[in-house]
Amino acid sequence: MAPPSKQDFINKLRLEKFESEQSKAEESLALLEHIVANASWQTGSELLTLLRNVDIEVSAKLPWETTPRNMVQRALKIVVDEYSSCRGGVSDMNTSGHPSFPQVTMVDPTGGVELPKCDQALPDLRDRVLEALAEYRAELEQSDELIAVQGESKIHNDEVILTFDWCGLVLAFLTRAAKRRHFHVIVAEGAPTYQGHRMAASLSRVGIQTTLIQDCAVFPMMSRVNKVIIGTHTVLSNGGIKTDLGAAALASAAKFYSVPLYVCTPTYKFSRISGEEVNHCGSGSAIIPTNTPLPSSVNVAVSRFDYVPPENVTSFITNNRGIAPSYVYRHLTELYDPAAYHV
Amino acid sequence: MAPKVEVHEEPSVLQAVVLTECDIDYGAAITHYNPKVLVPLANTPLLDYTLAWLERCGVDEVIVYCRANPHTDKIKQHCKRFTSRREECGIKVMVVVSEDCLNLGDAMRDLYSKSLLKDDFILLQGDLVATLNLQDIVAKHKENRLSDKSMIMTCVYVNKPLETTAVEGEEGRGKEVTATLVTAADTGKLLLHRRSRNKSSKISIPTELFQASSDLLTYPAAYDPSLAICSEVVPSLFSDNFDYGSRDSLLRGVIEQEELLGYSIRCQVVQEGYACRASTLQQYQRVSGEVMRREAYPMVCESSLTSHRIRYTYDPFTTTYWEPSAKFTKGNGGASEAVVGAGTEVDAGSVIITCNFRGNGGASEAVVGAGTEVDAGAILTASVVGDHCTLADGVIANAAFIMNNVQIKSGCELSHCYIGDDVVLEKGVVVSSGCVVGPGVRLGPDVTIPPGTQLVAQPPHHHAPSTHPHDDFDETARVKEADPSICGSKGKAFILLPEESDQDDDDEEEESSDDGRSSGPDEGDSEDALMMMSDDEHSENEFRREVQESLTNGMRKKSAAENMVLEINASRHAYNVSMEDVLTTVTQGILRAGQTQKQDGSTEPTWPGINTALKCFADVLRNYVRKGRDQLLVLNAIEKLMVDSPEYLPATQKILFNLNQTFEILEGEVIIHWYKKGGAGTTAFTTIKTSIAQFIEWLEKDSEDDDDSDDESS
Repeated sequence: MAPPSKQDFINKLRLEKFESEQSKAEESLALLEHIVANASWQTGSELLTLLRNVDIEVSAKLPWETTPRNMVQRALKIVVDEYSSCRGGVSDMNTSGHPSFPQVTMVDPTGGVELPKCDQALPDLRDRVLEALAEYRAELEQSDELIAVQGESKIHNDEVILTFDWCGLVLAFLTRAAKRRHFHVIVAEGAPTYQGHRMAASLSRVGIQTTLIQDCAVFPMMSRVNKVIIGTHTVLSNGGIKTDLGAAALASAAKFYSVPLYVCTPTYKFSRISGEEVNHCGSGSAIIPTNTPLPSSVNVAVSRFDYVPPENVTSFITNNRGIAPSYVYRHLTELYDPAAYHV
Repeated sequence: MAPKVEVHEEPSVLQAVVLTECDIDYGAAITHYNPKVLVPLANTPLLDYTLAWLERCGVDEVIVYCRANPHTDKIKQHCKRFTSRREECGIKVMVVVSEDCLNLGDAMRDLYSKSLLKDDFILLQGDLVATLNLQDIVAKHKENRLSDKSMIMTCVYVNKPLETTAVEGEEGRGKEVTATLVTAADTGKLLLHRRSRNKSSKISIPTELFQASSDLLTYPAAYDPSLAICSEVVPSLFSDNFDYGSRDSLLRGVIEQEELLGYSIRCQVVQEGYACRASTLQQYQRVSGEVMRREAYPMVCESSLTSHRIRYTYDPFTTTYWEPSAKFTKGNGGASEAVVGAGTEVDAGSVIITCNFRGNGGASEAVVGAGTEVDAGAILTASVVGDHCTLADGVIANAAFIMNNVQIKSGCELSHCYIGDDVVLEKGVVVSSGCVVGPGVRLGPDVTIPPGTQLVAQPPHHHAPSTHPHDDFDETARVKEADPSICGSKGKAFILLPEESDQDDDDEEEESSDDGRSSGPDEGDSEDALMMMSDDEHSENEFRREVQESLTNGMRKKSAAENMVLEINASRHAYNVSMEDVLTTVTQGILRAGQTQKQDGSTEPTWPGINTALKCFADVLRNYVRKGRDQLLVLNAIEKLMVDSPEYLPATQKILFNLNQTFEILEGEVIIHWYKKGGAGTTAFTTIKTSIAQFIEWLEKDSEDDDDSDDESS
């Protein structure tokens, strides 16, 4: 296989050649590893700039693609950590101007534009970063499995679960739970892509009792639902989620009936962008069947993503642990370097 | 199945040929400064849409084919810029320049001789905006090729919603863009292809088609985006048949001579996806609107097709796009205040802009480029504004396409027009629909430009030929001094007269591809200013002119009949004209040759002149008249000539008499038959009737006599 190149990766991203967020994450990690291993860089700062360029390019061209950007930020954090440990432990980090954890929360969010200074050329930095990235890759590859195994403990017998649209992670989660438990799943179809149909087919194939409903019919169904389990595209920094269209209505219906809403998400979907940014707009042809005579004076607006506010999310089921929306910010500080926030 | 898999796994390079010298252009006021394919549509050059689409569809190599002219370098540079962004992994774009390419056929022949095409390739025009799934189409083409070796080409058509074809069909769709198709329902093989140009609701289908196939699928008006997947046979076929000029002529040739050539053509009528050619300015306006309404998704205005960066902010509620550095100022000429700064404040500012757009009472579907200042009192509808323009208070723009660095002062009204780069419109200028204001023009104050006017900044004859796309520009455009009554007291503009059909031949026919299918010879010559002549009429007029020339020359030089016939046949092949039209043209040409010889200023044709012409060319005409039906055509041609030039009327009787008696080209019975049937049914017939009544009477008597004598003898 040809070595991964930035241009190639962005083209693939642009042409929507990736099947899932997981493959996006894996491929972007491969790209970053390639940059670390093969690009010519001497000091830590140079490496950081190289990595950050990927982030900048993705955000300029495809601002709605958060996963690759999260991967870059994660890699930046790894580089900074390895750099400081190379130079001799945590104490050194403090002297070089990087606040240790208690100070992180005090960082002025607008102030952290500069990348951390890592000016020294450390000969074994490359190997150590690659090692850490390989570790991270292992974590990444396991994340789906780690989430799926939690299925049994989260779902009880004879429960009614509502899910929405297609999500491979939720499917794996429910499939695993179905080995031990007997429950009923209601699937909202997820217009206009109707991936919910595929979800329903897959669920019934593994022997789960499945009901398919329209997106707008979630409210009347909600009274008999025990749990809502959905996937997401991105977890935003405020604890809300950006996901497929229709989820917001679903979440408010769940809120109304006090049904807990769980979001299955690997940690790489945790992004530091906030809610009101970027709603990628689609085309009217997605919702209007071909050959419908619709006068051009009718303005058709189609958006691709829905926003569920943090108060409507009960908990995130991640590969690490369950995280409440209000603790997402804490998790972000662990995942990413505070200085890399404003790239 | 094993061999099949092997075929698929071969590393094949998918090629596409993009023709930039599109058969119809936007008129000299635009194309003189910028090649058609680089005219921006929603601030992105047309060619980018084509290239981006091809790239998206996984095409590996694009051959951009253009004719050598001053714009070639621009196209080359543009393609270079496009590919350099993509480094190695993007599509390869190759610009092929030809000196003497006149039409699609020439391009194919040239590419064949250069052997640049290796396998199946996609053939399309550079003004196509499409989102069709090309991969599926190509895959189906290859599949069909495997099962049917004789299949050489797949034509792609789009079945559009009825509304668009019905409402805008008359002017928008144009006659050259739809085709009537009859295909075999099971295989999709194309059995009949016809440009649907008449407005009648009837289609005639030859009965033999029903004998050959049980199921026919008919598309009365399929939109033709001039898109075809061709096999490597197609260029060689063009090469073998030098008279094939366009794809249409190839289609006709292959369908008509199926047994001889052993080739067939299939067509795919695509239901999903978008495809439309910005072939004329009306089409340009239409495509522009559709792109703004995001019908060509994922090619949308806000993301640049070259760099893929998000360049515009998009408001879905008003369908407006603006560059973050564009300013929307408040107040009428007072302290102009920037609402939107660059960069970080976009989010905050966008809300205000939205309010502005709404406050204007209906700004919808607008694209505003970088650094442009739009006053809050300006109203934009379905319009595109380029970079660094200024639109003052009270400007009303409806479907206006404003390029870069344009200044429009208060109170101007623009509708359905094209405003080139660096134009200045002073206060109160009204530009009516269909106008093209060329780059650098100044207009105003307080002038109204009548509909369909083309304005240029310099008087056309001042142009150095080297910067000129067409060498004979001077002849085609008549020059006038900058007239204050036209362009206003501060104005500087010259009207580029809409080219007339006969004169623009030199200019236009090189770009036109002749498809040679002839309709009535008297089809309208003067069309709407923006409507370019259709291919047929170009070639027909060109053919007529050429025949006329050879006849006049032949008469002067007293050439032998065989040579004349050879010359006319050569023209006929070059323009691919049907035999019937040749006959009509030759008949009329001979009569006109008589006139021109005698003319010397006065246009009145005299009998002696016509007589010499007839004497001269009797053999030529005889060569073409073979059946009784041909004689009727000659008669009809004469009648049509009377319609155009009634001054021949007095000579009609003598002409007919001589053709009948002296040269024995027309039989008396045929003339009587024609006379009784009411001729060709044109308006001139009644007058002809009276003028030749005497002759007919004599003929009738004559034939009766003949009959009598025959009877007697038998």
